[in-house]
Amino acid sequence: MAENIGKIAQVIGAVVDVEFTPGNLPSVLTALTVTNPTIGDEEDNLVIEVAQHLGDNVVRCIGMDVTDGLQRGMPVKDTGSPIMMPVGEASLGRVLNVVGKPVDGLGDISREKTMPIHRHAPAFIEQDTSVRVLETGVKVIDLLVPFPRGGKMGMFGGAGVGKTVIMMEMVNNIAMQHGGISVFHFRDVEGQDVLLFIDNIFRFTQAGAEVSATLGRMPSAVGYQPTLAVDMGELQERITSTDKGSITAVQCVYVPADDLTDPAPATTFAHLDGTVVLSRQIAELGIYPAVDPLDSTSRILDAVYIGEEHYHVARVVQQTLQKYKELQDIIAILGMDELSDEDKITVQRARKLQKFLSQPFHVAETFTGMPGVFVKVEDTVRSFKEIIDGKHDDLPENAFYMVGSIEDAIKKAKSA
Amino acid sequence: MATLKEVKSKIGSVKKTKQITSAMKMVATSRLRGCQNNMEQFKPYASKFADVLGSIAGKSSSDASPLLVPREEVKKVVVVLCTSDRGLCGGFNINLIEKSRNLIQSELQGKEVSFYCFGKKGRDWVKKSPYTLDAQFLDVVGGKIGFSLASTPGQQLIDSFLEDAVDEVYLIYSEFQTMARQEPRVKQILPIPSLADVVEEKQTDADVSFLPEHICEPSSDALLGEMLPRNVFIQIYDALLQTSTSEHAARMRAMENATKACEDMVAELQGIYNKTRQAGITADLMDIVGGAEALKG
Repeated sequence: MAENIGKIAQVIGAVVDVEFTPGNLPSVLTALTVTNPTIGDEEDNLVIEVAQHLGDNVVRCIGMDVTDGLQRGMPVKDTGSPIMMPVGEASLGRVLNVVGKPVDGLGDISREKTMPIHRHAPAFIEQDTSVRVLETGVKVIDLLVPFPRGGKMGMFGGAGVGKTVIMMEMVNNIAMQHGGISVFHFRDVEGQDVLLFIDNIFRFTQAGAEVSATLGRMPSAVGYQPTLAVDMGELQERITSTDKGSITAVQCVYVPADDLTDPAPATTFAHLDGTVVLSRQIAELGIYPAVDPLDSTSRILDAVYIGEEHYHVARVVQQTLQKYKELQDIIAILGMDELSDEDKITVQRARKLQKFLSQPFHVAETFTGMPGVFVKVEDTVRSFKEIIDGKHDDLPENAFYMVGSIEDAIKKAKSA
Repeated sequence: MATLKEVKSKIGSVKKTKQITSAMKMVATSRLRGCQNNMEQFKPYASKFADVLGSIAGKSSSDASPLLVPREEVKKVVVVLCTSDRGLCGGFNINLIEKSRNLIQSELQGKEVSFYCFGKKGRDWVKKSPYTLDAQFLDVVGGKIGFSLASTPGQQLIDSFLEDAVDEVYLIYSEFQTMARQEPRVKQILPIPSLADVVEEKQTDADVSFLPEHICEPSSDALLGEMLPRNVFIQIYDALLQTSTSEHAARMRAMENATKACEDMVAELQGIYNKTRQAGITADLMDIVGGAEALKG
């Protein structure tokens, strides 16, 4: 087939209009290439993607790199396919940009096996429905927000509450143990179980909003693209476990202005098996990871999946913390003295539980000056059970802060 | 972020709480005046009584009455605990209960303890504790207190002391020092510690130099037999008056603090409310302007 060549008709920022000969119009999402002298001497160094058919044989495209230096009349090549990514063994351990070129300075990458960036989600019937629990080694997550193997978890939080740190700890605790690798090709073709870490899915929404605005679509609520839900759905439905292999995804979701009802985090919620909500109030108390134990949920926090005892302990911990939250107004107005004896015990235990939900991280050793701890799920459940059973009512609150299992807390109380 | 409606209803409920606490403060203030008057009026009698007792005690032997003789082996102890009937008075009752707990754990270790309770709060605590409740007098503390209220249980205690059913009696009450300060106190009332101590406590400075000499008929020992039980009643009565006054003072203070805390909370919530409201308006405006701009292009 002869090469299909078009000509640049108009350049407005990242938007490039290209005119083709009649009958040779490339379809939407097709990648086109053009040589931009501003980027370098290399041929076809700028990839632009067809976004719209304007009529009169003109297509509107989005540039994937700088479009400065483009001129009207420049020749544009139709590659006949969407942007392709190198996949398979060759891509392992490499850092790629959006058009599949390596940016880690380790040389060229074999393009023997490639896959388009736009693909359909696996059919409903191919999806895997089995549930197993994935141990993360982080107390608060293992106890209250258990991660399903092959599931999707989101970590929601505003700026600077520690999303990335938790994610790095996850990479450290899970990936180091299991030796995870990257994504769809390995699931679909090699049939492997894959771990996917995304930091940060909000950027996807943000990019979509920018493209939408650039193309002149009418913005929807809070300035997001009108197609927000579809965009998010198309991406999220591809991240799923199938009968061939599983993907366990951990996604950070930035929450603009700490407002969880903002459309970007709100549309992400629906696709996840569980949500770890990071709260600024908890971060302000100095409790890291700043997971909000009452807002965070997991689909598999259910006795069927995690066992009766774990479920019971998790629920009692939540109830205790909930009760404490309700009592806080009374304490603020009337003081601790007016509480009944049971409520006083509840408050004391809740404060201990709250402190005990903190944990030193491996990846944060340089900040905390404390060695990180990996706590096994059994130890986590046992430790929390002992606290709610009142076995450690005599220990000072501070002993529960930044420790691993309950034995560490006892040790800390003795040494203090 | 809290929704506007939530914040608004919370502001409403805190404001209502504030109304209640400030009303309770006013009630406590007016009742405090009554109680304080009663307490002040009783003082001259108590101090004169101490004078007379002191003067007679000087002439009597230390074992003139069985009420003065300590038991060699103390087995059964009664604690008379004065608390309030109602809560919302800060740490008032908790401090008194804490005092009893400390007393039992230190001096009364290993002895059989039972309670005479004035006031519901102390009674409730005793009921939950391993100790027995011998008698309870509810709805008296904080109100108008008749002398018989002190003398009846006082006589019971003296009787059981004389029958050897009780070996020691302690009184726990709240001493009214100033409006801002009420201290829980422990006093041993049976056996009467020693007359010198009792007298010293009751004497006011002015009387020290001029102790009147009393001429007694029939004998000072016989008179002492009459006066010592009465001294026990006076101690209990005084404790009740002081506890009542303290309760109201403590409640007044607690409610004042609560009212202040409510005010702070309302101010803080109002700030959140205003901010949220303004953020909503800004977001809506931006949507409208953005939409209009897009339609233009």
